[in-house]
Formats: sequence, C-alpha cells, structure tokens
Amino acid sequence: QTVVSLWEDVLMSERNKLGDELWTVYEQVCIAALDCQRIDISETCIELLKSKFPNSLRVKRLLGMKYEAEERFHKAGDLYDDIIKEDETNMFARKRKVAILKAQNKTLEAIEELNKYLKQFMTDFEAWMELCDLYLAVQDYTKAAFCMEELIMSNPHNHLYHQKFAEIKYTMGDPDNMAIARTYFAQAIKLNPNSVRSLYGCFLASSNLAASSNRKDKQSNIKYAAWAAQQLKEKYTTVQPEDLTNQTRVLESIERVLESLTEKTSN
Amino acid sequence: MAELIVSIQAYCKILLHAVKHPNCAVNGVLLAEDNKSKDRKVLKFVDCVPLFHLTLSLSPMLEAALLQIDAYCKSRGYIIAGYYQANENLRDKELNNVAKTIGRRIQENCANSYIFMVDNERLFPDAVSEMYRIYSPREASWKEEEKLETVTEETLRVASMLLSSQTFREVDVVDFDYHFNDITRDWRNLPINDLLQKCT
Repeated sequence: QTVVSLWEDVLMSERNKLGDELWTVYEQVCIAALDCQRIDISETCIELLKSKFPNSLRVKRLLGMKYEAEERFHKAGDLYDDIIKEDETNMFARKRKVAILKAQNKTLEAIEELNKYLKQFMTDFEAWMELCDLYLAVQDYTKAAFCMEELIMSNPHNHLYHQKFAEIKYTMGDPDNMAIARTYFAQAIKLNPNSVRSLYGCFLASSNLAASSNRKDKQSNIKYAAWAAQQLKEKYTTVQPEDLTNQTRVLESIERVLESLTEKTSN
Repeated sequence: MAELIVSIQAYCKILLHAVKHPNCAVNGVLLAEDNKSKDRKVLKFVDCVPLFHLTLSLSPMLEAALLQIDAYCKSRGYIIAGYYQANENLRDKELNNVAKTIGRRIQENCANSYIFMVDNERLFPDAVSEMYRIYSPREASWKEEEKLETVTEETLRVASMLLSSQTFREVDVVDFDYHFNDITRDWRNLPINDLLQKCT
C-alpha cells in the first residue's frame, strides 16, 4: 500500500530522475499495485516494461500475475506454461502455477503440482515449507511431517524446523508421536533456549505422556514437565511486568497442569 | 435457541485481526459472560482473543493458548463460548475441518458454543450486515443459524469507520502468535479496547 501511494504521489512525476533504476522500480510498483488491486497502475507499468524489453520472460511473468489478480486463472496458467516451454528451469512460473491452484482452493491439485516441482528442484526450502502447509490444510500430518524432515536434514541447526516438526507430531496425538514431539521440542530448546513455544511444547508433551497411564517413564516425564514449567515461569516473571502476569493468570494455568499430574501419581 | 449478542469490542477486534493479515487465515476465540445463575436464553459475547495467523491447525500452541485464556476467564467470570475463523482465500467461507475440530474442543468445555466463520467478502466499509455466518453444534456436525442479528447499528457504524478511515493500519493487534514470539506483548489488546471506547 505504501509503495503504491509513494509512487502516485511522488515518483510518477519524477520518473526521469531515476535513470536505469527506473525499470526495477516499475517492476516493484507493478507487484505492489497488484497486491492492492490497482490493476490500472500495474497495466501501465507492464506496457512500459514491455516496450523497453519486448521478449522478456520477466515481463511475461508480471503479466501472468496480473491475470491472477483479475482471477483469469486459465489465461495465467497458459501464460506460465508458455514460459516453462521457453525456459524449463524457470522456477518462478512453476511456483505461480501452484499458487493459481491454491487461490482456487484446489488444494489437492496444488499438492500434486508442487510435488512435481520438488522432484526437480529439491533444494528449494520455501517450496518444502509451502508443501508442508498444504498438507496441514488437508490434515495429512504424516506427509507434512515428512516435509519437515527434509528441511531438518538440510538445516539441522534451525530450531524453527525442529519446533514445527514437533508440533506436527504432537498434533498426531498417539503416545509414540508424543514422545518424538517431546524429543524434538527439547532439541529446539537446546538450539534456542529462549523459545517460549518450544518450552510450552515440551511442557505439554511431557504432561501428556505423564498423564497417560501405564507408561514406565511416568516419573521422568513428570520431571521434564516440571523443568519446562520452571523455565516458563522464570521467563514470564523476568520479562513481563508483574501486574500483567497477575491479570492474565498465566502462572496459575501452568501450576494447575502440574498439580493434576502429581495428583494422578499419588492415586 | 438462545439469543446472541456480540459486543462492539468483540466484533471490532475480530475485524481488525482479519484485516491486519489479509494474506493469511486467522482465528481466535470469543469470550462470553458465564451465565450459570443468570438468564440462560441470552449469550453475551463481551470480548475476543485473537489466536493465530500462521499455522492454525497445530495442537500444542492452541492448547497452551487455551490454558492461559481459560485461567484468565475464570478470574473474570467469563467462559470461552465461541470460535472465529477467517480463511486465507477471499472467496473461501467454508466451515473447514480445522474450524470443526477446534469448535468441538470448545464445545466440550461449554455446551452452548458457536462458530463464527468470517465471510471475507463482507469485510468492507459499506457492509450493512454482519461479517460472519454463525454455526451451532448439532449432533455430529454444525448447522448454520440464519436470521440471527447479533450486533447493533452502532457496532456496524464503528466497524465501518475503522475500515474507511484506515485506522486499522495503525492499530497493533496482538494475537498469540505474537505473544509466543515475545511474551511482553499482551493478548488482551487493552489499547484497542481503549480506542473502541473512544469511538462510541
């Protein structure tokens, strides 16, 4: 929105002063305009870019994005197919095809298309994340977990990947997956001790494991839960002002869960 | 069938949360006055707490959030009685599986609960009707409640003003995603409550 208003108010009249940067600016304004549904501005930009760079694939993709914004998905799809024919390694056009399917809510087809893309471009991490989210949208947790595994393998030090993987395993619910979740949350905490999400994750996973009966490691799970709870309480008390903590009752909520665990063991 | 009332605060916060993240799905819970001893026929939603805008469907963060909100509610005499969700796509107003699952969770705690599915296409300043469809639980699934008026003219006026005056751009809506990233950020959104007070 800011880009578009800046363009309209300032840059349009001062175009000549931009020199060669002008063309990159046009491209950026075009995309910003599409985001704000200002098709008029985007059309102007595309025309100008086309006259300067007649056979450019970059300009073609902007045209494709404009069709997408106008919801002329067929035209956009055909255009991207043309781009791919001309340049088989064009990652952008392939990804836009997935985006078109997503915009039409055709999640399953989007998944299929993205899978095809990843067979060729296996190192595109953004694409793996997107595929993970698509699987989550259709609640296929096993495949979503697989996507995260690929990401963890390539970037083993990224705590966010461990954390998301753990969250997916937790969501799957059964005790074995819950144990895996706890392990990965612990790893995420190791990589980033400040991560509140991982601490909560570890706390809840351990509590769940401790609460389910007949597990041999009940005691150790209670200890993990207690440890995580302690870390969380420290974080909240050191970082938040006291009245906020009191008002939101966050410490009490953690206490309650711990208490219910110890009650169960004494029964 | 109970009468539902949605306060200005609850309604506008849902609106602000949804427009703050136009490229994501967002969700949150609605808090109502706990009516155990009072008139059961009217359910008044007094506030809402925005939950997430990143991944809506993963359990651990949802459970952590609900734990906190529940403790907060008990201290104020509220109960989590509603859930709202706005889908990612402009034209997608379907009650999807995520909404149904979370709705069920809330219903386990509060039998008289409702799902509010935001219709993204109704999120504009000149809208004359409410921006969501309401669903109530029926046996194994959810049924849309039609012809329910839950907000006053005043509420719609304030909502319209927030959108047309572009105020929503300056407002910071703190949801649980932001809170978990930085726990100093308060999910009760008190500054927004103050702003809304001033608008009425």
